[in-house]
Amino acid sequence: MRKTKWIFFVYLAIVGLIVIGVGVSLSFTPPRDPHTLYVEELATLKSLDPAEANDEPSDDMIGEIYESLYNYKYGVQPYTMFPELAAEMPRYSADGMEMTIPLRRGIHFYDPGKKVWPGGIGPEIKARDVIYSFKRVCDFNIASPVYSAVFQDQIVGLDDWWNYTKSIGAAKVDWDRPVKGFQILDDYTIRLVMPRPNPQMVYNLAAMWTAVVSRDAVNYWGRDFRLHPVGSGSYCMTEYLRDQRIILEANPIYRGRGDVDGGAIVADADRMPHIERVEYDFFDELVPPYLLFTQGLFDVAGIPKESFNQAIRVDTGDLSPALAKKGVILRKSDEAVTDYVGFNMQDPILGRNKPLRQAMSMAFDRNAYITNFLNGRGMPAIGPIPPGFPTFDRNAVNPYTQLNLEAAREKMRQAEAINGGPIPTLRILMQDSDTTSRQMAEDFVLRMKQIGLTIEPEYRDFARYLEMVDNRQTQLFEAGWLADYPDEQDFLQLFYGKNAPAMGLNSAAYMNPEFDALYEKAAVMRDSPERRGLYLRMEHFVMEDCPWLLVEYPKLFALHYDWVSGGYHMAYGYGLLQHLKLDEQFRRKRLEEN
Amino acid sequence: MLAYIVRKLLLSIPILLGIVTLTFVLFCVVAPDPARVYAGKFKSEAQLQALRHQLGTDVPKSRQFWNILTFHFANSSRYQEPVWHLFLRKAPISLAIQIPAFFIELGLQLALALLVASRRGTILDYGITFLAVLGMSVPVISLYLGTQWIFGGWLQWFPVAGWSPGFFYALHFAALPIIVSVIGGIGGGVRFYRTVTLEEINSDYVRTARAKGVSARDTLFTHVFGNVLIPVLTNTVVVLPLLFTGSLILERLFQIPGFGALLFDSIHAQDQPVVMFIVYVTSILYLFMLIVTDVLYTLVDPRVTLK
Repeated sequence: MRKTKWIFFVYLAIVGLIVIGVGVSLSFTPPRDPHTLYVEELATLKSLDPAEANDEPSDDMIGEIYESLYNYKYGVQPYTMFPELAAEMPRYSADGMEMTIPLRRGIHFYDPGKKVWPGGIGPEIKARDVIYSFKRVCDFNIASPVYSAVFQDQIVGLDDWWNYTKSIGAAKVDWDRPVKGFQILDDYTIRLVMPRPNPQMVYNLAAMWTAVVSRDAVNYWGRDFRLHPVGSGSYCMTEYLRDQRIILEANPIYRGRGDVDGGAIVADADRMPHIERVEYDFFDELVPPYLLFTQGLFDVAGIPKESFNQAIRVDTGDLSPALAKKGVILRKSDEAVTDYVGFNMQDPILGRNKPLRQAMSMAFDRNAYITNFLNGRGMPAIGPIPPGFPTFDRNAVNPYTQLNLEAAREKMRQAEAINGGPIPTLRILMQDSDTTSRQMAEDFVLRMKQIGLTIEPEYRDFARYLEMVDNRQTQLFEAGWLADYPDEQDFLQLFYGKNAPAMGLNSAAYMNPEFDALYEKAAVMRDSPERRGLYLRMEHFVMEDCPWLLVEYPKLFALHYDWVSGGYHMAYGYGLLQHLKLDEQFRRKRLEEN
Repeated sequence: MLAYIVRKLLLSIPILLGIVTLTFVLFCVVAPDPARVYAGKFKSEAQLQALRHQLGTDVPKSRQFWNILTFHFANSSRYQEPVWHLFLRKAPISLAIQIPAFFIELGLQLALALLVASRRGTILDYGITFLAVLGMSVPVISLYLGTQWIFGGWLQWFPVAGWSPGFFYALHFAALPIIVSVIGGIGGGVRFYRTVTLEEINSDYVRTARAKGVSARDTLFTHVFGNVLIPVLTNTVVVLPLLFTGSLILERLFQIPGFGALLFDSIHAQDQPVVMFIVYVTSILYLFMLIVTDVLYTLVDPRVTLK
């Protein structure tokens, strides 16, 4: 038994050593590089393979490394496209069903790890690389989440390719097997053949989904290609510790700017990227990176809800004096998002009762919602199409998105007459069961109570929520839509009758033959005043019929220090980091002052 | 003893089967089709079919269940990586927090429990007991956030959050999580071991030893402490498997990319292969450690025999 005494003291000695080790470790601060921009990354990246990613964080990162055929001009509103890997904008055939695209010359892939090609410099990007990248999106084995949005039913002969890849298995796919709609005319020209005119196809060619990848790199890395991006963009990835950090370094063979051929002469002052190295550190929670930002350890940051009142003056919406004194700059911008509560138009109570939907829309206090749940970071919605689109009119008035309880009660009387009596209890489906979702649902319940409606919230996890919305098993459901391209059609497709069946994008199942006729007419038109007129008429139908209770357009508040310049929020486009500038000396001086 | 171990092992099988079945059924009810989540906002039947194939959910549920039982886990839906790889990548990170925290916490619990039990009724006893109860009463999330703000944000003694490869860099980021983990867990143990120690101190054999002239310190460390080890074993051995799984909230708040954060995110993202793996493997380790605990009783206390 005497042994136990010594065991105990030896144990305490070990504990003491551990404590000393922990204490000593505090002096081992990871080094900070003066040429590096430090950025927080608030999500786990799904994949760095363009064909697999469809989440915003992955797309943003991919966009720094890869390039697509087209891109959007930085800092230009309304959004304007320019040819990036393509040499010019697409040439359309007379019937609008063929797009011919010439490519830039002299642009090479670059592998920073020098694994795929000795020396790191890969082959020149040619037509076969572009078509290979498109075919990958349509490969059953890759299961690209954007296949249905980008190419399915939009390219001639794709069904055959899809079925072929499904039958053959990943390892045996013959990538040279022809697809009628993906044509290689020569090394520097491709042609897409579509079954019907599709003016929106060009937007897909400016998205990261269709970024051009190297077949050599895919073959080399196999399934791990998703972790080892090899592109032609302004940055290349030199380190990726999953869930920890990513380090990007300037691509040494980048041509200096996106709108020129490889080998073009670009003045040194104009060459991009301006910052040599960027480090992204991953965080799941918002508060810790914000604290690190206030210590100057991050150069840019978002504002967590919990810290909003410290960062922003509630009365004016401006930056707090404490942060302004440190050299922090607040940047506000519109997001191309509309948040809404959807009405299931197939529901026997809601679907046939327009006054009921209008009443609910008029009884909802959008300003209070924005103040209470978004710290004022939003704008009450007017129509389904948010700011940033050519037809958006900030001064337009939609009577059904104005808080008007008197008018709402009058509408309720009409609604009850249509229903043949009082409206029974309605259910609203929430995407989550967390505290915020519950508070939002309670707010909605209280607003509707004012016009005599009883609402019962239904909380589901996201998978179940999606299943119920996809199968139209809901009455009301909270939702939002983030635009994919700067064409109003991206929002209007959400009301098109042919998208109403289960799993279609029209999750409210809104059916209006007049709307559908206009939609079909506009769908094959390219941008013109006439098409915009059609869009406005379609939007008017939606505002009048209220298949959505429009809530708000969120605003983005971002912080950065004054040693970072050149930032501009782009809702679309990629390769944005190359435009930023970092004044290293000013940063050192500021941090010493602070 | 061997017969006892074999019997216990056999009894563990239906328990394991029950745990795995329950978890699998819950997944079937809550997230019947994870492909919908991973498909994102655009989906077509063809696309969902491809995703189900990739996620391994296009085979009958019975086959999926059998694959799990036979340790043929599908790749993580979220990471597209074999779950064993995830385990090997993330468990060491969790252990870097959990092992030091475990040893420090247990050492402090025992030392303080022996101290206050031997000074029963003094200010020291009341003071430490009060602090222990306080530590048990404060929600851990408040403790974590509070220390993060005070020591990381305000005083800047520790990094607020984060992680870095390399032993000392990792420990640099692990310091505050280890300390708060110890603070959050120490109270209950001090209270419990104090009670156990007091029971032993008040036993007849201690009184006899003291009457025979054995010093208070020798009585405490040679007689009392040996008997206190039995509940210590009960409490500690079974939690060893949980060291691998880390702490869900702690790792998330301090941005430790360990197994706890993985479990937290996997539950949220309905990453069935990862959750099933963790539940299954942790259950096996837990049941195994229960048997180990029983065996250890016989070593610590010769009066105990396993039949």
